[in-house]
Amino acid sequence: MSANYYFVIVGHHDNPIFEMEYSPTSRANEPKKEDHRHLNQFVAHEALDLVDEQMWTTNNMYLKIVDKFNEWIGKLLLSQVQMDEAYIKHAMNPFYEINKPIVSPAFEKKAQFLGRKYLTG
Amino acid sequence: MAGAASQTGDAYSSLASGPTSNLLGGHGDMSLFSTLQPQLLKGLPQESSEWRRSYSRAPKTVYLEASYVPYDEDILPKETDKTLVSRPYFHIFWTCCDLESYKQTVREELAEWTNALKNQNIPDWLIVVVIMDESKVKSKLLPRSSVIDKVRSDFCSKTSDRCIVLSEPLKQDSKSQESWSAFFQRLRSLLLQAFNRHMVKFEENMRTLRENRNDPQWNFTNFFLVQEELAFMFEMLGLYEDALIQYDELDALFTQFVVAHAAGSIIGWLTRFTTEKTNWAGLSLHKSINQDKRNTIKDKKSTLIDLRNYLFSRQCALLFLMDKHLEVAKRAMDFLHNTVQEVGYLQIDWPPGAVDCWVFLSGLEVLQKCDSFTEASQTKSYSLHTASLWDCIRKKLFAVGKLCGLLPESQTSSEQLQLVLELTAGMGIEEDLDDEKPSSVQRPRAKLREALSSKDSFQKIYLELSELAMGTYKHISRFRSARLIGKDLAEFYMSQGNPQKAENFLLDSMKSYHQEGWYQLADAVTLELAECQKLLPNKLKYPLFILSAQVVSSSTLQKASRMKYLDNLMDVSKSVTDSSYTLKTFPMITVDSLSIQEKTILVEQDIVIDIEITCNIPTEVDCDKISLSLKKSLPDIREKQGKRLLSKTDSGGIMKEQVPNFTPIKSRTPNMIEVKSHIEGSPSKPSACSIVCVNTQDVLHRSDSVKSQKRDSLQLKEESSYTLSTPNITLKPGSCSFTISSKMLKPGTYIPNQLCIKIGGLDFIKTLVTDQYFQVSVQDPYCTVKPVKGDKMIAGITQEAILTLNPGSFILEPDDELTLITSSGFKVTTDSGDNKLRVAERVKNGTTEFCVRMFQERSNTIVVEGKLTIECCRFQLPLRTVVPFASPLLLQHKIHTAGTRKYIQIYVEGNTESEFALTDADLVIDNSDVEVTSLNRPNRNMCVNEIQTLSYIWQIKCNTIDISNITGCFTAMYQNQEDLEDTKHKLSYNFDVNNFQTLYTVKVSVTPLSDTKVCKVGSLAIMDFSVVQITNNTDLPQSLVYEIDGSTTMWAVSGKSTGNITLKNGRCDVKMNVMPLQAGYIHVPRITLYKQMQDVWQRQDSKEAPSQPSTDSNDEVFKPEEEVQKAEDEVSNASEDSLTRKQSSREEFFRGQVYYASSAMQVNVYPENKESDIEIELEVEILE
Repeated sequence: MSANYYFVIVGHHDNPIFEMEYSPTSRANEPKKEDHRHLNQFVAHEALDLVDEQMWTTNNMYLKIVDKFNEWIGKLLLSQVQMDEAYIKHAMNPFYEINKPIVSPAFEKKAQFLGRKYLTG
Repeated sequence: MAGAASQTGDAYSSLASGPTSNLLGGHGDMSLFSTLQPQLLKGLPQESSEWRRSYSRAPKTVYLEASYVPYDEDILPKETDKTLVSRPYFHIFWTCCDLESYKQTVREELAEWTNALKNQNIPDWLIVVVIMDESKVKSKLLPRSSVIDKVRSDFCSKTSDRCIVLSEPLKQDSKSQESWSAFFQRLRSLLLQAFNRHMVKFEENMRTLRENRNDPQWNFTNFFLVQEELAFMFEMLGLYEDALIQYDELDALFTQFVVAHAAGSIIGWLTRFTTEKTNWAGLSLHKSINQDKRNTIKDKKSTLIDLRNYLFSRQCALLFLMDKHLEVAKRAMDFLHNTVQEVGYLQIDWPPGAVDCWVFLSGLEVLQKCDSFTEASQTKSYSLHTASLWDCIRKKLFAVGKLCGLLPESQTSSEQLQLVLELTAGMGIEEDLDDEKPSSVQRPRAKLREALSSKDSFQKIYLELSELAMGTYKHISRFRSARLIGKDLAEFYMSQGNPQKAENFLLDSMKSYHQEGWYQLADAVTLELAECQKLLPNKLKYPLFILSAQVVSSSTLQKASRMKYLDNLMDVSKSVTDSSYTLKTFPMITVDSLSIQEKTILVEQDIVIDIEITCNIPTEVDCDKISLSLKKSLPDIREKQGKRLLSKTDSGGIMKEQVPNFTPIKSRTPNMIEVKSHIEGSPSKPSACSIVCVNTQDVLHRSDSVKSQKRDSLQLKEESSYTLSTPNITLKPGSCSFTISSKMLKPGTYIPNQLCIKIGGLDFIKTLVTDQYFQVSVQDPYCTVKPVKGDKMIAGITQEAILTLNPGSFILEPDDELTLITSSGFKVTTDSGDNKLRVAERVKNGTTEFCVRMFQERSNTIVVEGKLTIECCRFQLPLRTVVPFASPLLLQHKIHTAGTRKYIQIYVEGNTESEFALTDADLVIDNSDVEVTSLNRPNRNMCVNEIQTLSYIWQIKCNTIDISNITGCFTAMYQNQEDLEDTKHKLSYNFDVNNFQTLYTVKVSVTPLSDTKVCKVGSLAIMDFSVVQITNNTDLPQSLVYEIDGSTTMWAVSGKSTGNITLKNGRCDVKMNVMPLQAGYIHVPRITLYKQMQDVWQRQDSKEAPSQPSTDSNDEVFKPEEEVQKAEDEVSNASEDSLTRKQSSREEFFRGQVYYASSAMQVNVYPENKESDIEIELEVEILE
């Protein structure tokens, strides 16, 4: 599927602390549809319900596909090793307060890179 | 007696109804068999047997059940026959005969039968020899002569287990039971053997078939039927799980093909599925096997939907058999999802909405089926899976409704009506329900038809489903999902024109998004809520304004909608003029910083405050007024002058639980309770007075349980008497800064309190929490005076001076009049010739200078202070100041005496750099008996300045000696270059001289003691001194005290340096031993005379030996210094009291009363003889 991907890191209070969208390079130039973007978020937010449930049933950090919305697949990376690493590095920053939105160009770059590597390929 | 061939259909139908059934071929004595059959049918499935399977699969316990058909050679399966179901698995020959009949007929029959089996290569058979009467058999005693023995030897020589005896089967005794059970055991194990053999063969065959799946000729349907047969087989054996596995494998295989097809590989048999067009009938779980569907599959006429529906219905049927209803619900979602995907992959040309119809029908079917099974206790775990199903079919229904124009706001067009018909047609026909009870629940198809039939029914059903889905989600506490449905519902209600119903849903979801920090979503919902609020006939428009403000300032929403709401707000602001609406500035405008330029200013000065704000409005906005109200604060609260306390600011986190190494920063609770007086009623006649705490929210704020830091309280505009404001500012998007300033009229400490941005009738209020403050203080005016020339003002002359006036906190306007009032002797003249000054230009925060002439009368002190008072209408109090003047001339007088002659000296000391010229010096004594003779050179100009002093001298001659006191006045004229008047000023100096007449003359002489007649260092000499009374006045005191100056290093005096003398006949002579200590011409010892105080004398007398004039001091030994000192110390120790009294017991004479005639006399002292090397240096200190 050449769909768009939406990646979000969610904090302790289910608040988004980092969001990023990936679109395949072929579509990168297309203007983003605003509505679509919100829908992504709505779906991601809804999926948190399922995360809440599944978190307790498995030890795996990777929850695989947790939700299907219409024909979209909410693939849930509760955590992905490399992204984890980047996040932990960021969290070590004494000026970063846990649960606050991440605004770091370095982190963004890393996420972009990993997204291109694994998702939009 | 061969039986008729059985019908396979029988076996098949029994499979559908009964649990299991295996076909057994029966042969032999059919009448016997029919007598045994009831027991046979009953007994076989009564006990289980263990089925050890090949390929090391786990052994299973199965119950076997069989149906029996009579033997017919035609129905024997061929070896190539691959069927599994409806196949005679096992063949039993029943016989009950005696030896005779065996030999005659049975044996032959048996041979034929075994041969037929052998021909077909069937190893599964059993010969049952039934013995009806044991006694008959027992009577034969010959070994190996019974029928069974014969059968064994004839047919079962190698396989003895293929032959069994069933003895007396119709009897009820234990022996017969035993025989039956042995028979069943044998039968079961042999049956299983047979099954296993066939199964293995079958599976092998199936595997080969599967491996060929990439052949172009391969067809999925064929394989499907084969594998399904295996599934049937398992089902027959009661192995539902294994049966389910077969279906699951088929399911997966099919999906695999579809995915491969989508990826581009050409699969011939699949193309048939892509062409279907008109069938999207929903899933039916009504029957466990839908024969019709199966037949269409068999006939290769099935569509994708047929296949999928059939497959899933079979899976469900098996799951229901296993009592796994939950699993059905769980699988349903995947099934629907997969199938929809497959429809997409296969690019099936369906009319729009067909897929949604199918999903709806199938989903609802599953839900209805599940509901019929659900028990109350299971509801929760059940809902876990059904919730998303409900949600899914809700969405699908909505999608169909949208396509068909059934949404509230849309009009159904003829094309849409056409579509409805088309869709309805594609749902197929209602299957006949041969159900016992006519179900109260509407079948999915009927429901969908109803929903599509009219707008109203669609809306009714949609709302019903939405509520159901939402309720189910809530039931399993998936509140986010429930809220999302709520949001959809809200949208629906909105389009229905029912904003009241929508409002709560939207509010709910907005709050939750906010709480969890998904601001984009919150903003999106805010926009919707604002739309909703707009439609509400709500008089209170505050919520709408707040929402509008949020929409306008949202960074995530599109500019168009933001602009729309901004325009709305602006319209409102224009329409409202009289009563102001008060709104919070946040989020449209946030105050970033506020800085006070000058922390301390004076009254009447402008306070300037820079304010930086971030404006989140997408376009420029003109605001009418920005005002900042100030709060007066007690000055002592703010200890640190204008310094901001460094403190961490609240991080705003909502973290409550402990996270290692992380301590969120909470906003500090204020340690001060701010109170205000509150009066009810009019201030003049209050009905109640109270004290109100202003910052309760902060002080009583609970930090532990407050969920969010956000407060939704309305901002109240506080009245303030101090307000800075600036009109007409254009706010630009992004950060902008402006300066606000105002004149402060009252002193005090102020804290910025509220920022109010006024746009039309709307007031945006921000209550500032800042530690910034400023002080307004009053500064008194002051002035300084400086001479134009020189560095200090000089008294006694007229000087030009600059009067510098600083009005302090006051402002002098042009033409203000200043009146100068001076103290006596101090004269200030202005340019206008009087004591008024006029302000030329406005004076604020600065100084102004005036040029004036000043004259201060001289007095005989170093500094003369002139007092100046400036009065001005601007000043609250007259400005008083002191101007110091340096006195240029300081005068002193002195009496000089020579015997009885008296002289007076006037000593003039200068104090300035510039010269003062003195002329016409004169002295007047106001006593006619006194004559003054000037000893000065007349008519000579004398000059005085800092470094030049001046003296005048006059001789005073008294005509009578009775004159003891005189008063004199010295006058002279002085002149100075810097004097603007350039005239001579009169200098006068009054003085008194008292007791200046000479009373005594003291004469001292030193004569050497030795014969040499010369004084030598170190050798004693005699000092004579005489005191002579000059006048004949007998009242003069006759007892006097003398003192020899002991401080000198020239003389050593032996004896008392202080002593008393008494005059006799106006004269007294005293002799003392002295020793010169230095060579050369040295002054004779100095002697000072004092008056004796009477009372002291008496006391001294009582303590010490009566002091007598030490005239005979000759015999006194010279005491070395130490001893003298010692003696003195003793005295002081003994009576310090008397000593001090002794000191104070004398009184000095006035100057001139004692004439020391010898004060200039010198004695020539020779140095010591060279004979001795000893040089003694003595210092005698006589304590006085």
